[in-house]
Amino acid sequence: MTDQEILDKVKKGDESALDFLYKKNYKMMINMIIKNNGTEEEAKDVYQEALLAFWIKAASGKLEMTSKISTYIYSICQNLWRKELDRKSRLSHEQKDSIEPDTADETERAKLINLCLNELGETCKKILYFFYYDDLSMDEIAERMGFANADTAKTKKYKCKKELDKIVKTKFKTQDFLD
Amino acid sequence: MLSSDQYKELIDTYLKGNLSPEETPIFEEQLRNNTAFKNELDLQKSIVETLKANRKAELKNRLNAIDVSNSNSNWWKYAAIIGLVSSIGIWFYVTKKDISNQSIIVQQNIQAKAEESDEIVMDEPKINLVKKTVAEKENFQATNNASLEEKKAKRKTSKKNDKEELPNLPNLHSPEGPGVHEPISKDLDAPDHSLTNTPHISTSVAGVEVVRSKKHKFHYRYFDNKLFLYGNFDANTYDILELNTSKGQSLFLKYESSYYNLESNTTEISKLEQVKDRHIAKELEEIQNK
Repeated sequence: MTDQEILDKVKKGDESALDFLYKKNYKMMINMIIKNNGTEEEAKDVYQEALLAFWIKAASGKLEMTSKISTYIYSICQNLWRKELDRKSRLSHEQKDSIEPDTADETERAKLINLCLNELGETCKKILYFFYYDDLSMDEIAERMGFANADTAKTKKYKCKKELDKIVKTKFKTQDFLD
Repeated sequence: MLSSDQYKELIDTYLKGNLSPEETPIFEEQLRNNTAFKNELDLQKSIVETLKANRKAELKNRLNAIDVSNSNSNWWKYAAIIGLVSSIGIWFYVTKKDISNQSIIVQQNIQAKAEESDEIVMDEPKINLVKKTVAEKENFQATNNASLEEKKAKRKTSKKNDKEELPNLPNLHSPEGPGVHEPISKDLDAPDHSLTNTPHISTSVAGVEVVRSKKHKFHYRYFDNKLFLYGNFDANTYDILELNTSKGQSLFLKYESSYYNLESNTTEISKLEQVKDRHIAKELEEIQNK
């Protein structure tokens, strides 16, 4: 596949393009991080983050490619790994006492919401993923889901979000929310 | 005063990072003075974070499932396939089985599902994908080559130029190639190219999905390694047929006793075109009747 073919696929949301890129560039990216004091596990994590960052940017059409895709992903990997090394060295200097008190609370909440998400239909989940994670416009969501137009996508997204909110709120009865 | 829907809209805009300069003071004012607004924001933050985390996990799972052990060189994999093909070939030759499978039929019975939704429905069809591996299939042809009719032999030779598309396989015809390769071609008179074709077969799809759409009544496309059929296909049974043609492995659709092309490079939604080549149509019919 040429870079252009890959980009076309990514723009259409074809996740097989992701597989192709991942496999093709795996060795190069992993080696770069391992040579810079990373473990294979860390390298894999950073590489996946970088690839997904590319995916989101390219899929939502916010990317003007001026270099090869592999060069682009490589530079994201470098940046992410530099940041991670920075974070690590800071952690070892400071004492590890700065753990926020309410993280436990938050993970509890995330767990509950996760359960709610399972009650949602597949189509709804997809729409919400595309909107919040893949950062797609309503036009693009309509295109990928086969909806007539952006308005339909917007209505669907609204309904799906409302349904999710409802499920979540029945589990958080104790607090006051907007209704 | 804004309505509760408008407040929620404001929160959504904030969480997407799109708050305008005019909206910012309204947002901040609410945050200071309205407990319900503050609670709602916290909750929505958690919901959006969870949604993002889930989608990310989904994509990462996908990546983790990919075999990266040979991300740079593939030649030995092809060699392994050919080795496998050859050994199964010998086995068939020894047992003198008369197998005349020319193609594989993928039968699918799609249960019609009444859906009241106004838009489009992504059905989860109950598909029984009877798909054999590339290795098995190629091998059937190799073993039966001697008994195949002239016609098929002719078609095979016309595929010779496929070789040019496989620059990654320098060893295939040289004696240094996989050991089993040599005796096989001697014993069975199998033309070499019937084996070298193996890696060329890439049309295999991971599944078929039927999409009911108002806009596209009788269309198809390939997406995400799947074949998507647009239209009212759940009303009748349809078959997906696989056949070796001069262009390599191709898929065809049989629907209401007509045959349609499923060109493998079709990524845009395209109209289903009937098979014009009479030879191919005849072959497809033969497969169907077997």
